[in-house]
Amino acid sequence: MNPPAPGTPLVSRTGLRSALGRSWPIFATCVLLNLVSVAAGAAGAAVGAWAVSRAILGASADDLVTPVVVVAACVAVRAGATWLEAWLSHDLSFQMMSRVRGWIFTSLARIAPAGLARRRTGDVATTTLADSEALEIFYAHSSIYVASAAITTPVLAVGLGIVDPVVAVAVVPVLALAGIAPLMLRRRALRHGQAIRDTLAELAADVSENAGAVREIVGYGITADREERIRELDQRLGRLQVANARRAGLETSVAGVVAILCVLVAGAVGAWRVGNGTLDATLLAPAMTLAGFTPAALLQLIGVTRHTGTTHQAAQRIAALLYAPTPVDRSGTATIPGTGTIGLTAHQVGFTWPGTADGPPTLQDVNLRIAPGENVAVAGRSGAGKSTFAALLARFADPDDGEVQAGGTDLRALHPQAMAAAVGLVPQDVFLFHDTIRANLLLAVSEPEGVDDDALWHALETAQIAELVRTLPDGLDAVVGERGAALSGGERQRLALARAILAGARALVLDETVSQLDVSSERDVRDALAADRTGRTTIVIAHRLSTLLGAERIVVLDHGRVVGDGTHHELLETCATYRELVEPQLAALP
Amino acid sequence: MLIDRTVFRFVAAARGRLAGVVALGLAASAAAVATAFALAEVVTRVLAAASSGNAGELSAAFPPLAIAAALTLTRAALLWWREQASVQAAVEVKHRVRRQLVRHLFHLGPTHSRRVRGGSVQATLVDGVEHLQAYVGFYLPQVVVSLVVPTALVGILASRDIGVALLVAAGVLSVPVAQRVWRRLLGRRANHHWDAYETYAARIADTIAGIVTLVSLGATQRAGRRLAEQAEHLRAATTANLRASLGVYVVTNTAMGAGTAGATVLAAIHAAQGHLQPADVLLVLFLAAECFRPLQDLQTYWHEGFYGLSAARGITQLLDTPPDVAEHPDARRATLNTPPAMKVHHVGYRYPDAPLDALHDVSVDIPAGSTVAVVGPSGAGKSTLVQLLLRDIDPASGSITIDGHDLRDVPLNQLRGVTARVAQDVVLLNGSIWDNVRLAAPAATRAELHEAIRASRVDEMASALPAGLDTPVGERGNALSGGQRQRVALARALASRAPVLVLDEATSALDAENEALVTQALHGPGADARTTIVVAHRLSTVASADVVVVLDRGRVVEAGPPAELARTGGAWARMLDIQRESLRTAARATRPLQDATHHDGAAR
Repeated sequence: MNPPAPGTPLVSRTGLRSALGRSWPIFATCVLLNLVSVAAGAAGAAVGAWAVSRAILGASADDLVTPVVVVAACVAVRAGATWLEAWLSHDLSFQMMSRVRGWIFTSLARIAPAGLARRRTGDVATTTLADSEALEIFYAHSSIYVASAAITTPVLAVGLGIVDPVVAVAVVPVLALAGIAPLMLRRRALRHGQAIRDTLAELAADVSENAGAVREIVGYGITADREERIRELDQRLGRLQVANARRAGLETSVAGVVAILCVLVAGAVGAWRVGNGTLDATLLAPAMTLAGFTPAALLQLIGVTRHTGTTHQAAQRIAALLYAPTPVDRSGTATIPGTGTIGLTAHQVGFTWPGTADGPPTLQDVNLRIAPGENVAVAGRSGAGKSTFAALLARFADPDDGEVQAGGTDLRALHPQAMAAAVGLVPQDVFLFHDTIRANLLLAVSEPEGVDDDALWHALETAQIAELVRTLPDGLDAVVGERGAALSGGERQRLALARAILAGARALVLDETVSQLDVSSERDVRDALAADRTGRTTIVIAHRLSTLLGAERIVVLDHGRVVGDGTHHELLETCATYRELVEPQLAALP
Repeated sequence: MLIDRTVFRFVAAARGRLAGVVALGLAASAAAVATAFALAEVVTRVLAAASSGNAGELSAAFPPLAIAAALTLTRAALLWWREQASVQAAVEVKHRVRRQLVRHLFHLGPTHSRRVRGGSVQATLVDGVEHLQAYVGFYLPQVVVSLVVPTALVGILASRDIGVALLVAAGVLSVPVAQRVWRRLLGRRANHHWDAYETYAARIADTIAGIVTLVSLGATQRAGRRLAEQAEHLRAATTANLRASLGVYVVTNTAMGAGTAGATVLAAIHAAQGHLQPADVLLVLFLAAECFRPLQDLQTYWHEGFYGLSAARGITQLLDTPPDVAEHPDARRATLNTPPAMKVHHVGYRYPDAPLDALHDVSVDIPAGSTVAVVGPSGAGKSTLVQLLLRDIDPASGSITIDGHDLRDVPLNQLRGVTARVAQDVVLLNGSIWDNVRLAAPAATRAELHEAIRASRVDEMASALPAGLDTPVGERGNALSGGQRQRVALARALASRAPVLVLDEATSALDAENEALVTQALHGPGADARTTIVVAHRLSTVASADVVVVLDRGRVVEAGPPAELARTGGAWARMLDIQRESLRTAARATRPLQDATHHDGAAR
């Protein structure tokens, strides 16, 4: 299901409406059941009080049969309504959870990776999931209480009015106090909540830094320093929380006495009404009991408004994601004819990563034609623009100037599926899903049913990882652990390479993909790729001399420009940048 | 009730404050009970006036009404006070627990944080400890109030009408009993529901974390569809369970409602039969609900209780994790030379649950002031050897010595003080480049720090950055590239002037040019004052070492000066051959193509 239209405030009626979608009847039923359950409870208690009063004033036990039956019925109705409401609202919350997460997933897919900038996607995952829970609570729980408070409270007040209108009118100001108190304190609540969350975030950042750098902290003996920092943050947090408790305590105390206040007011006004003969004495106790029930829905509301701050914060972060502009428009429909290898062309390409506008462009005036089936290496110092070039080839971002073509078609015109089939990028930091090797490989194909194990083994063999997979007890069905933790860096890289090979990309871009392999493994991978290169263009980004030498042609980048293009021997003679790059490696060879 | 033994070690320290919270909670309940008495009196007097027909007697109803009002205000004040006392007590507990946890985290050392899931330490230390707040400050005191208040009130009711008291007691008791019975009835089924839910949540997190990969494979729509299907599947599978597990919520709610209503009705019948005084009937009417109020309050804290208890268990688990290496009780400062010599004697090591030894009978001699390189294919045991040398872990057999002292007899602080490590996955701390270099040597002069910065080529790199050495490195150093991070880490290690320097794949992210410069720096002035251990894939990094140790599958296959090894034609010579050969064949392969591709290959 698609996210709401851009700009729709999430914590609002329109936001609720678009989140509910077709689930609104469940929502309405929950609100109704909430009303039924509170009303049944109030009616039962009031009738009980009436029976008590009548008994005191001399009714016989036989006269009490009707009230007893009514009370029993009310208890039964309340139980049924409570059960049904609990069940339906859990079901609703499940639907909301899956919907909100669906929105987030769709939006992330739309803006990744350029829209995620330098944020680590792992962190994005954790925060958005926590946020989606807060939003789900708003849609499936808080909203029900808000609606119920708006509906149930007047209904109960009217019920009280039927017993005695004057008592009902007298109780209204108390109800207003219960409704307004949290609103009055809300601004302060938001401020406190914000300060507490900020401090917690600071604490979390510090703790996570410490946890990630235990080696360094212990190694350099700065533990006392780090402990002190945490202690200070923790103390600040404690002070804020105590200050917050002064305010929250007011809400608690209002919530804790508002029902009794209603009873008191009803008692005072009711006694006066009994005195001047306008209220039957047997109705005093029922009026008081009923009055005690009128704030029930408001109390539920006070219970949930405590989380308002968290909800708004979460909604803001999610909205920032849902309504983020689309960095790469993937609505193209073109395909590249044929199934064989394709060439790649960069024409006058210029590019700067968003947010780094003050420096020189990351890439400028890059012109390059890579023929179908060619094996090209891209060399250059750190920061020369190599990875950026790879990112543009894989359309992680679109160039600011010029265009990148695959098989003669501008990448921007391609259908996403055609794009994925055209260029496969194996990045420096590969990602494996916490699933089996088979599932990780099959992710790459659009129709997994049509792929047999032979195809999987072929891809694994080409990437020189088949031998390892064979030694695993579960083979293809071995689980790779969280982010592939069960494998070493080099193994992860080779598995990602196998995945790209299986995807059958017509051009393969390897960004330092073999950097974590030792020289002989690297050579094996290269040989296997070369043997299998039937119809595949390969572009390798590398530092290592052995990798560079394995390519038919080397392109040298420097400060975002192409400064050399040719074979190793040519470049040694014509390109100073290249010489500086490789000479130390040549010299180091004994 | 959501309590187990693990929580007591946390609350013991704040016993006094928590007793105060309980006292305030009981006082607030007492105020409510007294209010109920006053209200019963009000209605009694009104009804008495009504039945006597004397409206003048009505004024007698107002004094108890005023008392009820005063009591209600008192209750409000008590509740306000209790809230603050609760938070104060909880803050104190959290403070202690956090301090203990941070200390233990460092005590556990570097190997622990790499074993546990990323973020789990943060989850325990930040969110877990926060969950203790409501649990310790609100849930636990409320448990005491929920035990005391209903018991006392049932006693009061019993003095008026034993039948009514029994009915209320049954209602009150049904709450804990139902919860226990339900848990036994549902048992694994209920847990299954939560497990399925957790698995689904983890899968979403994993899918989102891999979104870039999905985008580049064109697999987002497939993955999105699969997630939706799984959600629907989970919903269908758990709905039946949910209906049953919600039963307990309904039973307890109904027990409370039925208890109050039943007591009222029974009292009315007894009054009609003449067994109960009017004042006592009304007391039942107003008091019965008070028996259930603490239980209801406890139920609203259920989530807090649930999270608090599981947080307490998580915290306990972390605190009870023993460190991989423990300080030996007899460890005392050793007298070490600068630089020291290290020796590895017949060391064996196997990771828990691993089928094979990571290292087997490994002996390596690291003379004082020498540079020893460790090479070998992936999985040869290079990193394990480094971890043993730095005592992240202890050998299972054999021993490692520094100037003749077994590492296990040297205080950890001393050992960590004389060693410095530059790892492959360098972690920098948030702050500027300068801060990161200085933290290794707080006592060093600016000139000394600048020397380390120059030697590791950080000055060159920093001059290209907007704020130079004051450029912030970002979270974990993310604002810098891998190579830049490694150079800063190297500067940090050099600045510490530790006499033992361990480079674990420390130049892997540097390009060849920088690598050579850095390697030069390592052999430059001051190199004699250091014992250096280098682990590397790239042979160029290690060719200039005094000694090369070739590891394969956990064993030393050969060791000696590289030039000598090259002549003997063993493993090292083969590695050199492979590298040379691969360069040569690669270079040959490109030659025939060079004319063909060059001219039409380049667009310019």
